Amino acid sequence: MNLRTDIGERRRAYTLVEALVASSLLLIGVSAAASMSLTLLTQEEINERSVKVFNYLDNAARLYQLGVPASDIEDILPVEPGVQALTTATGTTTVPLLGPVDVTTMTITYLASEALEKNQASELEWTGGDVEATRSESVSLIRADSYIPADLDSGSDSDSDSDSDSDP
Amino acid sequence: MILQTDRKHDRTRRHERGSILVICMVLAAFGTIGVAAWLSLLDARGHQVEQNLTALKRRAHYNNGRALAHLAIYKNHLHVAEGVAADVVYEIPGGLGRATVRAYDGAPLRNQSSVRRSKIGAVPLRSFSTDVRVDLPDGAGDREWQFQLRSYNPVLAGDLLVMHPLADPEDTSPMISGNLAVKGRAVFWDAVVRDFTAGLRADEYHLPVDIAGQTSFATSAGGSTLPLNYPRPRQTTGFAGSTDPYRGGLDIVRSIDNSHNAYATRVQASGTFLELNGSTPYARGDGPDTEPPGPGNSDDSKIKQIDEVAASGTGHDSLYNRLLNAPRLSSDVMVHAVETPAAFHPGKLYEILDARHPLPIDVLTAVAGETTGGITEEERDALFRKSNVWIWSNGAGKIVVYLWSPNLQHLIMREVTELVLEGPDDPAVADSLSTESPVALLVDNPPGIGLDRVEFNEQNKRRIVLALSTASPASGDPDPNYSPDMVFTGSLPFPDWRMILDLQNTGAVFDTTAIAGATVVGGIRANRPLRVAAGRLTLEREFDTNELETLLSRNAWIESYLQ
Repeated sequence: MNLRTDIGERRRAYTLVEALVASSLLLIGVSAAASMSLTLLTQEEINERSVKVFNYLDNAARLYQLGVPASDIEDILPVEPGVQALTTATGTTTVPLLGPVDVTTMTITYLASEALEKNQASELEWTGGDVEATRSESVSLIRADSYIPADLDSGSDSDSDSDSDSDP
Repeated sequence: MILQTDRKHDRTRRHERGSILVICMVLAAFGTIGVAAWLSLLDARGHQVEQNLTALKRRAHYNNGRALAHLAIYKNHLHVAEGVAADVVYEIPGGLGRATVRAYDGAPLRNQSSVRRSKIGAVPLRSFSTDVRVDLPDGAGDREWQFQLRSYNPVLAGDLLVMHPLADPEDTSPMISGNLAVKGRAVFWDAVVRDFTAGLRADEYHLPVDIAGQTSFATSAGGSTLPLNYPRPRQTTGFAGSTDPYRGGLDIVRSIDNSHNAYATRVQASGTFLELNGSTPYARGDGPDTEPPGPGNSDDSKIKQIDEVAASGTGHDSLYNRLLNAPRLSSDVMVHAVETPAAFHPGKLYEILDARHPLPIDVLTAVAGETTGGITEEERDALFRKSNVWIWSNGAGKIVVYLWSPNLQHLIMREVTELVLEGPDDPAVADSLSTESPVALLVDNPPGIGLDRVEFNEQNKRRIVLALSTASPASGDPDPNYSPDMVFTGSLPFPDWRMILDLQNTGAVFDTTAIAGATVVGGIRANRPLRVAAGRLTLEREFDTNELETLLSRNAWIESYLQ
């Protein structure tokens, strides 16, 4: 009676097929999760890069509107590895009741997924994405010179004139 | 019994298998929720990042609106003669920015109703302000800004020497030369190195931002200093002919286009002013306008006797005694006597007139225009002083103003070639005038006539504004004298002259050798070169702004604040 009872109570194990199927499913899930993780991490890195570049563009636009010459802006701002180019193009638009107004289009082009150089101020390394992928964004700006202009054209303020008698 | 045990075991095994499945499903559900949350967070993060760009563009357009408001106010509002009756909307096509300038009254340069303290250091501490509300959209709504259209006279604010861009761009002489000391700030709208190496000394220098070349800057005490390092706000004195109002042109003495910031307008608005022409004899004193013939005045016989004496050359004493002892002399008789000097021995005509102070205006005018020698310069001066004459013109371009007179009014003078400002030689009298209201003396010469000489005699502690304008001639005509001699004379060494000199299209050649050196308490604004040819000239600040700040022509600029 005890023998029958032991045989009767022995638990039945998972079959090999069951185990293989379960393992396959688990493997597929883990692979998908791993792939998605990398993709999501890359996306997050792109987000972070974009935030930094937009801040860069924001600062550049503000400097320009404050009166800083466009050519000096890149020298003033700290190096941002993601930025490939910051360009300005000035055109003219006519504002009713006011007349022609200079409008400058400031365009920033940046590497969306990987920097070409490491930002020394950051401990982050870009880990994924296409190196060649770039993105450009533009903002249109106008500014008013609130100070007495340097080029009053009075005839006595030319640089050559200044230089010619520069030594007291 | 066995069967019951097997069934029990089978049921337990099935239950265990079901539990594992449930646990797996729960774990899968949690995993799915976690992954979904992660995805959702990353999606939100992506949207947030993209919204950063949207926010950036909104900020840019908001600041575009502010710049647009500045441009619009510079172009259409700050320097003009009237306010805005209805709101004006300025908008950049494409939605790149918008500014709504709300309606406001009055011209900023004419505003006298509000005096504010400045909040930034590059402009006068105290200034008039026309407050204009400007609404700027920020993407979510309108933000209210207050644009304060400020104005004040720069000299009164401490810019004791203000050199505007030269009216003659071809002039290569230094803007300032000679011994000129500025105990305050010297401001140059435009300058080159040579302008600072020919004798100028100032405690502070405010220079154009693009000046090139090495030079040294000397203080009034002889030390060295560096120029101030802040930019000067864009300013205007209003319309200046056809030039840009913001390039430093001056049209502030008498102007049609720029009447709201011209001295003549302010003087005329005061109601107490006098206009006169240097080419017409003129005098104004305490006496009546004229002395009419009256009972007992046998004018005809007196005039006839004057003519007879002049014609015959005899009877001078008889005529002299008759006129001297007459109880009354009409203006006709006195004027005829002045115009007939041959009827009198030297000094006798003076004695006749000297007995009848205050002389009528028409007689004084005849004396002023008398050029034949019947009355000497000294006699004329004595007669004028005793009749309390405060201004006279000899009709040949010379005008003399007695600054101590209580009757002195604002003056608008034309066709003046020589101007003499007589100050009191008595220090007590000079001190007593220090609290008098300021007076504006304007010289607005027409094209072709230049002021040759200005004489400052003795001292002056009454606040005066001397605004001189020299008009450019028509094309092809010779230039008038743009740089009058400004000579300080008198018996007092180192006199003080309280005055603000506004020189429009006019320079100056100062000479203080007669009194060793002079101090101008006020300042100078000019757009032609100034030269101290001999002696020393010092500029000091005028601190009494009462009644003066509303009389002076001003500069206007913008300050803007978020409400």
